[in-house]
Amino acid sequence: MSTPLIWIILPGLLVILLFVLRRREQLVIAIGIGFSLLLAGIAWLDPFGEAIKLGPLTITLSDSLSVLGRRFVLESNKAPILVLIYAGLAFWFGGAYIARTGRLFVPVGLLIASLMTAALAVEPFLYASLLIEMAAIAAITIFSIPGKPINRGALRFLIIQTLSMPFILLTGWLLTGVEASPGDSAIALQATLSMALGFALLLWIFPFHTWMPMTVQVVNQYVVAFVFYMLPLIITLFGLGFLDRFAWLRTQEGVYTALQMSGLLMVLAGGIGAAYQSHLGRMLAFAMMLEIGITLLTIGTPGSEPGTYPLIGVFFASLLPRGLGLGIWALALIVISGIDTRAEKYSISLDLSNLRGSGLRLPIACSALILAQMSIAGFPLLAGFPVRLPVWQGLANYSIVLTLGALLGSAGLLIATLRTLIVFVGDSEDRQWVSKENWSQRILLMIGVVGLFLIGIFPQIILPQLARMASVFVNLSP
Amino acid sequence: MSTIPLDTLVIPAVILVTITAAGMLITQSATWIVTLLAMQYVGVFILVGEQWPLSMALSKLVAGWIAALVIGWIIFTSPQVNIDPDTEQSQVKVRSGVSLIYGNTISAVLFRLLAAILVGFTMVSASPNIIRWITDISIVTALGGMMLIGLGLLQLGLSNQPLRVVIGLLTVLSGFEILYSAVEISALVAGLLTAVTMSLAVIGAYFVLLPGLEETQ
Repeated sequence: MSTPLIWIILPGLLVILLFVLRRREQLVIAIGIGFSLLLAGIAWLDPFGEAIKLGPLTITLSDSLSVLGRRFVLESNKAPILVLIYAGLAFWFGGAYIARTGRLFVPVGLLIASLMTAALAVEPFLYASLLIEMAAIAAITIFSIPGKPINRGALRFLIIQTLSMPFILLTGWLLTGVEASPGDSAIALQATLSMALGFALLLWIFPFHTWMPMTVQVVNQYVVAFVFYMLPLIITLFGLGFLDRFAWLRTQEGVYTALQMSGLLMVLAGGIGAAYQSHLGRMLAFAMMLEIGITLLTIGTPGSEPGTYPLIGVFFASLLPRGLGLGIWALALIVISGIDTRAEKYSISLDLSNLRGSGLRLPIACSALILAQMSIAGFPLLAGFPVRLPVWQGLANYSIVLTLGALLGSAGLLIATLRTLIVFVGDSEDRQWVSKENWSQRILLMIGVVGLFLIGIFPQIILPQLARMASVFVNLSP
Repeated sequence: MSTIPLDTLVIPAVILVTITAAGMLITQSATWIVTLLAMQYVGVFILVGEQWPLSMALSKLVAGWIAALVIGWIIFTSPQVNIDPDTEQSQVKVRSGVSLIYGNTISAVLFRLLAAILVGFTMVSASPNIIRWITDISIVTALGGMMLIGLGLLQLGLSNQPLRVVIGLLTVLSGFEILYSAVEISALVAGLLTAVTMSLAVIGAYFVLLPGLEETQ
């Protein structure tokens, strides 16, 4: 028995069973949640390399699995990341039924998690780009709406993800050249450029972001938010793997500059873009751009010595507020758009011009949406604030331009929030307060909102533990 | 390293992949596109076989043919839909979910042909730079890879029809695989690239089926 078998092969096999059972939606979701929690729980117990006694049986968990002459390795130091992936998966599956994500969401979600785990485990780690590509192809199936042609945003997503793969694979080959002849600056430059272009495509850096608003406008927002959460998480970990393994790379001044510039671009494009949007789904896409930008700025903030990345822990801590914010935002959009009523799909457009006075009809969904937007913008007392503050402080010690850029991005999203709020509480024909959400929607949204406040008010309970996950990258942790 | 003794076929293979990639760009016939795709992978097999052992190079051919088969099978088994109910002429009948038409005028075809020629010249001029970068590859093989990448990107740039996008991605990927075969010989990479090729073909087939699926599926 090996750890890759448990966290890669078993979920992969379960995907087949869940696909066969897909018409029994509630059962599939229940199995998906239970299995994800089980895998997260086992990773939490950290049994890597230990002998487990099951009655007369003694099973030793080896940490590697050989496939076609290469290895998939999941060692004890990756246990926190496995907890993060599979607990996150259970969280997203938790809202799947209410969000009416479709029958393929759970099987495909589990497949994506399995492929992403394989991407973290494969050695040489550069082959991960192939597994990420397969996960992207799998995501296309949940981006599609049966009965309608595939949307253009999903096609662009497929193109962008596929074109990134060759650059990352070529980077791997170039990096071996750099290691063989460290003084050759031409190869180092080629490797850096190839990697930069590969990651720009993988992380949807401007101008490769265009698929995001296009897709979220037409596809179930909860499904898109899941992909927004899952793919950048693994791709960022993949990118941190590069910095962790190659000393010459992490000490290059140009790497900091590239991270800062691309982060600034994303933060500004996301914030300003969100402020100008009149569609709540597109606003979500621009908020995600802001999140990606903040991540790049977080990683790109240099420490006192070259090659140190002091805020890397903040990136890990920010994953929970990000997931919670995206999940609540997307779920609220589903409730507001009326997709959950089963009576008429997409009965209400998510364009602001159609939502005047929605706060009177759907007070809980609208409040949850506003709070999720404010949390992602980094508003005090909400979950996003404790992880934004150290970024702003770190940037302020380093560059006033980057700090202003980051603040401007958040301000843009806050403007978008204010515009949304004005529309929600605006005058409408129906002036009576009613709550048209059903009980399951109310309960799930309220749990999410309480979570936003709890993390915002008592960040010391869980965020420091998440921040400690940065120790996985031994050469980057301060 | 045991390689396939097909060195004499390298130049015909480059000509083959260039003609097939350009042909897929220009033709509007589903039959021709599937046939050209299958033929293209013969060229890819020969060019990859210059660097890789026979068994690994064969995986490209098999994966490519399976990809062409999957796309072809799904196209030709899709129900025909009459897009103009006023006439029964065969040219107005299209396969459900399949659209490869980009225009009926001669100028549309001519434009694509000229664009393909322009990209071809660009790739011929870029290939010497590639062999300075990847020293283990011959200029002819590099040209084959670059042609596929260039014409595949042109396919992606000129169309947003799902099937053409998938064909374009497969073409770009084939070109990259030719170049990459010179720098990496790994069974796992060959296996994963094969899986990506077949996944793209399956997703292309899914795009064709999608408009005909019921909403509850």
